[in-house]
Amino acid sequence: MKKDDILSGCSLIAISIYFLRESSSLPPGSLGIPGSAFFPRLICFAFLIFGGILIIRSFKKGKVEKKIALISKQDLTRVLAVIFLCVIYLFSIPFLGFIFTTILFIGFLMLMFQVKRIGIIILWSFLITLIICFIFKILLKVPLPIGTFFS
Amino acid sequence: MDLLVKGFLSILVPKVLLLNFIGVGVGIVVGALPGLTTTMAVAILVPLSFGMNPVSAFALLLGIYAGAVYGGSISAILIKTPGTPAACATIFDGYPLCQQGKAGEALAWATICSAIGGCIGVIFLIFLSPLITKFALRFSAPEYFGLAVFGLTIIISISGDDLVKGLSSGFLGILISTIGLDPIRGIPRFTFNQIYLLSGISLISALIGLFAVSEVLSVTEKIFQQVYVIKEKIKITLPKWSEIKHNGGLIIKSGIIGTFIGALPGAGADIAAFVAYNEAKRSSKTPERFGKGAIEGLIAPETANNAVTGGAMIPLLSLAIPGDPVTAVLLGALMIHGLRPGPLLLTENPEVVYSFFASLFVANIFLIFLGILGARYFVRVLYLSKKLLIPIILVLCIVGSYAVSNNLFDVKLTIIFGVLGYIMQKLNFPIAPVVLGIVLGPIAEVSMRQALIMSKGNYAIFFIRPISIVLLILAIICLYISFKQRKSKTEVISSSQDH
Repeated sequence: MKKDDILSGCSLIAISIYFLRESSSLPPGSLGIPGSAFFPRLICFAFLIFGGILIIRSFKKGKVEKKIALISKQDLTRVLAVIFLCVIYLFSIPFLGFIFTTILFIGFLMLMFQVKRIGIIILWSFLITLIICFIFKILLKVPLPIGTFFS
Repeated sequence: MDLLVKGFLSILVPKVLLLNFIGVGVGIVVGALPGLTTTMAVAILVPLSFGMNPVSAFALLLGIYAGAVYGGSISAILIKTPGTPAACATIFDGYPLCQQGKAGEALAWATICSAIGGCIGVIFLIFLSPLITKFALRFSAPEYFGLAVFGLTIIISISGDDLVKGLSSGFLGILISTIGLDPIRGIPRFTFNQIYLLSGISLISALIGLFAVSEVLSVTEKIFQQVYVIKEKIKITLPKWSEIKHNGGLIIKSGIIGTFIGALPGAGADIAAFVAYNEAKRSSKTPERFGKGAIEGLIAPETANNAVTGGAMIPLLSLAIPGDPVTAVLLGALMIHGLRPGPLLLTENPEVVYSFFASLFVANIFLIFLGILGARYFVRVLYLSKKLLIPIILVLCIVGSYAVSNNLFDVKLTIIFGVLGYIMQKLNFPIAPVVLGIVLGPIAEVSMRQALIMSKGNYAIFFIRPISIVLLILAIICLYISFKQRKSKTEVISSSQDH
């Protein structure tokens, strides 16, 4: 049994059911003159078929049970930690502003990647933030968030 | 001809040339670093080009494109690890040359052939794009539907080994493209009560998330594993003119193969390189030397993979069909810069389009200088620590997606797409078809519904109009060719592994 196929198939069917339910409030139109729901529903039905194929295929292939051991626990934890840091960073920007949060974000990332020299972490965090600020704020005139805490 | 001269004149200003030069340099660095992709580099730098005019912006982006395809050969030759998939076939003879102490010679050949290949691609681009555009100007709704179907067949050719998963990825992209206002009736669809979603999913957020953030997450997994050691001393040895002349036929043939494979939607630089390598080996009088350090085995893939850059731009600029992930990102860049991709692009903005041709051509000239003079320094990027690079890339992804419309909602979307792309990679779903689905989905939906309104609900409209039916037949032919190419690629890989 191929577990990644089962997981993929079930995900496709779940997405399909969710979007089919959501599209129930949209005008379907007719086959000749399709409405707003026609195209999304067509895709959802295709998803149901693909999902079904993946699940059936996983049983057909199934002589050896394969685990989705695609990544070690340690590596997965690191990836999840990066995603978590990104989320925290994103939600902190409106309050603490771009510059302050970016310095912290880069610093924490480097700590997570086991960069041992504190001097390099501090220098790199400040340097990169300043360069990015210069490019986007000064050269490209993008109004980077100042943050409610500092404004 | 007049437009071509104008195109060249528009880029022959210091600022544009400098951007083009920087683009090539950045491209070589990114291409040389295994794990960082061309698509990622272009996606991250699209927002950076947002404040520029289209001529300057594309001088930068096309410079990256040309540079990165070449850059992949540096790590392929020196450490037997292709920096980009395009350089996979370069390993076969490039690395043996390096082992024989001819790394400098191999790098010089790779540089020269890449530049010549790139120029061959641009020459075909200059002559073929206007011809295809002229033909495509006759299109109306049913033809556009045929065109979108033709474009969507690309999904099958870039689906990797698993067709069902490839198709699912493409359909996911189409489903994502239905988020926002219904393009015909203006009814909100799947907006989850978010005002920002009324205008649909931001293409740039999807591109940066799927191609850059997901790659960053993948690299994060292996961040402690990648240490490269280069034992060979690099001393560039330029080939003699007589040697170049002797291999002239092979260079031109490989350039033409690369251009035409590049122009086929879905068949990218990696396939072109494999096919050119296969052809060079087949037509060689001494095929037994291939895989053991034959210079012809390096010339063919390196010429072909850079010729693809010009070839892949042909369907992009004339029909708005992106042939590979990089051109899908470039399509997004066209839209962000207010240019309407499609057959009208060349008629509405001829000077801008011709400046793209010129930029790609000049980028290949810069490639020679940077490749020959800077090879020794570019090799050093292989020692760059990913621990220092990843934070920069991640911050650039976030600021880049924010910069396009100055709202943090787009950044949230970028992170969501990044996680989605990462999960898809883990479950062996290809990512590029999602982008094709997002780009071509609305064209398919709008043109199909408009055509049905025109025909009062009669589906025969798609099969009775000559161009529409030709496009649908082309879609089938394209599928057949891509299946054949995949087979040939597999054969070349297996025969090379036998050595």
